Amino acid sequence: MKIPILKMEDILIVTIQSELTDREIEELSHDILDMINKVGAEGLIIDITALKVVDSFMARSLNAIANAATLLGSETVVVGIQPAVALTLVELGLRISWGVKTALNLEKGLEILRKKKDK
Amino acid sequence: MDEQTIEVRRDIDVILARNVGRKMANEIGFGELDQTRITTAISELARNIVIHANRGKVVIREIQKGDRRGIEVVCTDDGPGIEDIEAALRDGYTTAGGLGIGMTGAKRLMDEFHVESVVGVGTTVIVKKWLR
Amino acid sequence: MAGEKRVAEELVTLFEESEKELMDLWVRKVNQLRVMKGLSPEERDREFKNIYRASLKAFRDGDYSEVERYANKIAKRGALEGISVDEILLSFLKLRDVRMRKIFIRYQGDLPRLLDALDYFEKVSNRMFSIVVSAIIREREEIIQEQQCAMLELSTPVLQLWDEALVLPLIGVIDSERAARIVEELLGKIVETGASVVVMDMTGVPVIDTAVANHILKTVQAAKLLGAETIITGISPANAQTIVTLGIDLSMIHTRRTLREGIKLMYEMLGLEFKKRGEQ
Repeated sequence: MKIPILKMEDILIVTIQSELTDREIEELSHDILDMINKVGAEGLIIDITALKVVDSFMARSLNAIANAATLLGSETVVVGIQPAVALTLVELGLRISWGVKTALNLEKGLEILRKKKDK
Repeated sequence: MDEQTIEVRRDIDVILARNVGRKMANEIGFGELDQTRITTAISELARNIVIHANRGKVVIREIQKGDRRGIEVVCTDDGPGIEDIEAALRDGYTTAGGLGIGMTGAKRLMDEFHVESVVGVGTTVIVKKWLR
Repeated sequence: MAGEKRVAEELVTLFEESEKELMDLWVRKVNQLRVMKGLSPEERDREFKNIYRASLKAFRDGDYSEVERYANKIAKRGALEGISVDEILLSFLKLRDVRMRKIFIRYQGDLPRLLDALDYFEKVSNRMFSIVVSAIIREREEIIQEQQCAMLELSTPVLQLWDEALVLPLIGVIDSERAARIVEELLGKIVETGASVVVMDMTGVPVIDTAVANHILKTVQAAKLLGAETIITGISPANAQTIVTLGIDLSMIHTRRTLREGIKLMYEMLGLEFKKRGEQ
């Protein structure tokens, strides 16, 4: 199933609705970066509210997307991480540099990107 | 007591394994946070099977010791085996695909961790978590 | 040992025969001390009689189980009804005095038998005394432990200080279990209130060990994943030293010396500023 990428002004919004296989995550990364490149988006929001598990692969993938997006000039905010998921991620002991910003929900994610733009 | 076996070959089986794990953890009585820890650990271990071996399986069962109840996850694969287990459990160790976090992560999230591996034959990882 | 058995029998007979006399004397002496007033006279008589008989069992065949049972009961009651340790111990010692006198009277003029009787009497009495003291101490320890548990269970309040700002005043000893609970509670509250800044005040935390420090670090990281920054305040110099020695990296954490400074930083982070009315 293709995951839709919405465009709102110069911000892309991706809402992950269900658990993704590794291959689907890779496809999604590809699609997002393609889209950023195509429309010249300045911001990217990935909403993972629906995810009850974020394992190291998913976390690395999100991080990789964020890093690549930054290189393409688009700041990334991951929103909607569940509290249990957040704590588990920390306990997992990922020692990756989070190139990715996080926010509680879509609204706050948009706020962060807008503030950035105003500066 | 309940027991379920999930054959693991492809990445979709990882999702299947963790869904079964979450359901069982929930039935045993684990709270939301522990369910997430258990499911994440299963995800890490099941993915290791997909990446390092052709096939393997994940067995999830309810366990009991005295009056303590818990969950046990046994992951077996026919992969190349691990030559240096200690090194594999060190942070940042990686062989394929940059996923060295798998085993150490699972170990951190669970209460008990046990690994056996024979080079050329395969690897078995057993993790447990007890209800508090 | 056969000699001791004979002495034991003699003493038990002596205490049985003179039960009425010794009980009366004991009660009178205790009354003179003006202790055990918490008990009604009937209650006191009943309890004293029970103790008297339980101790006979100990004298007869070295079976202290009854004594232990009574000691526990009395320790528990004492703790419940405000009977002081002094009162309980003095009462027990009075029984010992009363009986000892009886022994002196019984064996006066026969020094070898008096010494044998005292040897045995002292042995059993001392043991009983130590059982009573242990029971009292155990009871007090239990109470202290219960109180500590109760204190630990005082859920740490997570206060909403402003829109999007939480304050978490940590007080008391933090063990892993409590730390785990605090983390969960805080994360839940962040989601509930949409907080973007959390001030964690450690002024009331006496000791920070590795486990606590790691929990704090975990909390900060998890809060960040939920979009909230954490400011830690009130780390004592000793605790600061511990953290440094433990090699825990606090570089990603905002710290301020006092809660006041922390709250100032919090308002800055929220983009607010304090001003006196009329000030430009």
